[in-house]
Amino acid sequence: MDYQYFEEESDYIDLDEEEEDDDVETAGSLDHRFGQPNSEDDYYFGGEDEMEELVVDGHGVLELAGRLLESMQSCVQPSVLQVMQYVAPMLLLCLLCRLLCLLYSQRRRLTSLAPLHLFHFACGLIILQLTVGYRLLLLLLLAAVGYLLLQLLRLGRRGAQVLAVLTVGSQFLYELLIWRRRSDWPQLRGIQMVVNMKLISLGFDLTASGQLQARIPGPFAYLGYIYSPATCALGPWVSFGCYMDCLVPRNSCLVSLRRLLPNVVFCVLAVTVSNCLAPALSDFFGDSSHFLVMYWDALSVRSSHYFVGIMAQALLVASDQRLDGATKESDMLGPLISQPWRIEWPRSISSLVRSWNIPMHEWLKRYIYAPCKPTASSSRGRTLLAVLCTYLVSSLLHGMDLRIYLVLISLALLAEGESLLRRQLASLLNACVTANLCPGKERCRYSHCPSKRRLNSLSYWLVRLTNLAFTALAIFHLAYLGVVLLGDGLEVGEDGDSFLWHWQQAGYLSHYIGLGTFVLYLFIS
Amino acid sequence: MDISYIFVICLMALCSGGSSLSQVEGKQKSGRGRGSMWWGIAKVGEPNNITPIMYMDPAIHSTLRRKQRRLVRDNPGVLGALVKGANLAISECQHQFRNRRWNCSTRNFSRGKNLFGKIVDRGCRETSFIYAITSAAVTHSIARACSEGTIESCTCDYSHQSRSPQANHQAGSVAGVRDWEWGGCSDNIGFGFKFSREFVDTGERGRNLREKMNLHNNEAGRAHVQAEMRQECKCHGMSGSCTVKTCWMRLANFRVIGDNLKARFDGATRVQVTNSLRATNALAPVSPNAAGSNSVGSNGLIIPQSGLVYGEEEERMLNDHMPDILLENSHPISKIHHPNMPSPNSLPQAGQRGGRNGRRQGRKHNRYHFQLNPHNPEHKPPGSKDLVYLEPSPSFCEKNLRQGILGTHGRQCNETSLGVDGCGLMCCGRGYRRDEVVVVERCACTFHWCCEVKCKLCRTKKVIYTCL
Repeated sequence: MDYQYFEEESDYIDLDEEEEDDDVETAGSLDHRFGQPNSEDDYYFGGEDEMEELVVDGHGVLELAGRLLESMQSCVQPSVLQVMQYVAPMLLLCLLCRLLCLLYSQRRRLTSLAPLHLFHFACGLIILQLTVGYRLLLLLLLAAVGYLLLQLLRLGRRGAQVLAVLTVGSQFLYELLIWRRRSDWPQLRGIQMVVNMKLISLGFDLTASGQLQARIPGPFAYLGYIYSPATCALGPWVSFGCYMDCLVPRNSCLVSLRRLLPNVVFCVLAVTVSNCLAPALSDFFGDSSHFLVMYWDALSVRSSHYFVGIMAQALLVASDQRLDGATKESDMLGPLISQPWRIEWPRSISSLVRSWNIPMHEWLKRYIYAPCKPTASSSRGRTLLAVLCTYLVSSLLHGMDLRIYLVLISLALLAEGESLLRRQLASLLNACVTANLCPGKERCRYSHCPSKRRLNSLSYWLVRLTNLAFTALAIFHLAYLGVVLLGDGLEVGEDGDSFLWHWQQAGYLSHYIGLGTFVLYLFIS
Repeated sequence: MDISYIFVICLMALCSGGSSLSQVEGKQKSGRGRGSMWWGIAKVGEPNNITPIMYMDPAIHSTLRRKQRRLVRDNPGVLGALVKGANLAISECQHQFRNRRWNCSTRNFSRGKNLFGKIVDRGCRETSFIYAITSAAVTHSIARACSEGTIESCTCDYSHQSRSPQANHQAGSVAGVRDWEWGGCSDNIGFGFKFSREFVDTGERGRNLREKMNLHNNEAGRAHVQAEMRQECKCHGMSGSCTVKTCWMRLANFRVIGDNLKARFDGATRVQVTNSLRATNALAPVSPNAAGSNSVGSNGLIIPQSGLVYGEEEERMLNDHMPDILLENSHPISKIHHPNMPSPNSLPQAGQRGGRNGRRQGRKHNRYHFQLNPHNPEHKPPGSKDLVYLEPSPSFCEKNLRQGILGTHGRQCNETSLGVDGCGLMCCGRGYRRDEVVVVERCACTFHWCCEVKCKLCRTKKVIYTCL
């Protein structure tokens, strides 16, 4: 769940916005930008033409309906059934853990927190046992190693950094040594990734003020944190402080149940789209338009991510665990891991990347990007270093997957280029076309801002149109990048060309567009 | 080669050939249409009109055998699927053979007659295809109907579900299908398979070669359906990991199955009477005696009814012998037509049932335990998915009502093609007529949202060629 993490750019993008220029040159540049979405539109229209041809014999629509129906019958039922079989015990265990904690905390005096940690640990262990079976032992071994590494914190801040390097490095080493031999590593990888993130964050948190503030948590607290039922199987990362805060449930059960229901519904919906609907549509458009194939395939990847995210949300809600950072908590769904609506209709690539996996974004920002970039007024080189560092860490965290490396670096460059260009354009045109949404009528610094203008003014529509074009471009990039991640991440490395096939078909269009963005940016500035 | 050796071989070939022919003739008389009358169900009525009560319909009554009627009565809802399946088979057969001299024509159905006509009386390639495609279509449409829930008696076999999906996906995540079992109701293919055996194979007891051929081809059709049942899996998880894996089975479009069967038709194996004809032992090896007893080539040039056989060239063109290519998956064991072989999952209860029903079940299973020997000993024995036939096909050129052949008079042909649909081969050298006709067809169609197609009517001139 997470191919993102360059969001950090957003932080400095808004920091320095100066450089006023004349509007003359930008008109031409805008044309260029509009040209790109148009080329994408050609794909679209091409596809629709083909569709008409399909329809000509009068069976196109019927055929599509038939195929969808067919795939629904053969695919939806087993998929949903399996997902339910998977999720139901986890949800029950989360609720059980919550109940136990509640009962224990209602005693008059809380003498010790250890039983609470133990409840969490035990429930998490059962979940993992259900999920991975006897491989649990391997995970426990890794957890023990992690606890030993945690003792490094006695060295202070330096120790936390060593801990981070060792954790990420050892993860990579496991991949190298275990992955080749073990067929089941792909399953453990995600779990171990979350554990590593928790370890690193723990190290930095404890040594935040230079000295070791608190004691290193005891083994029970450590295990309870690492294997808390809400986050052990599917993530997301939560900080130790947040975990401690939520040891005792605060929300009423009724609120949780009310939030649980939509989560479960959306979860089923997402898995249906990912397993059945998107592949069926991709098949159907298989011969007509390559862009549509990419789009639907990538939709399958995206909704798979939503599915895991929403499932994790359901677990969070069930055990009343909150997330760190800016309180991205919706009333209906509880804590949000990703924001599908912002991904499906993105304002820009960087906003898309930020919404992809919010906790992961928060983690990278807090522990990697911020330390690497000490002051706000740092040089551009320093910023670049921080971005690169973030990229490197997130890649390493994801394990050895060439596809993810490629997608991440492409995303980073595309997002960076787009943000730079749009900031430049915004200041040139004095219009609200930045990568980030304008903060509102009062705070928007540009004069041409849709929230300030009336509907019938020309600039309102021009700004709208520009942003729409960037959205279309982002959708295209998303399809282009996402399609690579389709399929098991297992046979990667053997045939490098198979997963690049789509990119070849598309003529590496996205990368050229990204390059063009940079060139344009340099040209303007 | 030693001349005397050849002589001996020819002698033996004549003897065995003669005897085999006489046997074929004999069983044509006795077993004519035994298991094939049910095909007529296709013409009984529209699938939609069929209500569960209609198994009492006199038309159906006369079409189905007693056991088949019982099956239909005991499984409400199955009749519609059967009708659908039979029609599916016919249209697929006609699609696959649209460009050949024999175009899978059906006759106006009247009771007591065979739907595909007298061609079925011969044990030729075309017949083998008919049997295979009908059996496959029944399996397919029953399985489909099962998953649609229109057949009440086919329940989802929950014994197949893994205890927990999580327990599988770790192991299955890389090793793939190895130990994953599908869940839900998507294994209806098992019911389709079983039902098809009970229903389609009713009249075929496997007592003579022709019945064995029918059984084999029926089984082959089912095996093709089963083989096209694909497992599809998808991983979900963090960072491309495989934390949750969901899998399901998907039954391919029937066109795919038709294509596969057509390929097998092209590479069908001619089989012959063997000494071990009555051997029910599945493991009976290919007897060297039988194998060596007949060295006549499989293109059948020495068969007495020479007036009807293809010329050598045409035969090659029409039949494209390629058993060696198509048999690549017939590893040694698959010579044995063990019913459960293609997929052990499909008939989960075979063992149980066998135990419960004791002897009867055992006998029934023996029906499928036989070994057919290729006519040409140099060819591999037919595999479970191969089609087999007994005698060469007639040329299908001239009308011969006695044999149920319509001939190719008046068929359209393709002037430029060099293949079977070309005018040269299609018209059997009789020549063809060139006609210009004005065709009115829909054109310039536009799609209006949603969901309507509007077309203009265009008149175009077309040249058609018709066999004399």
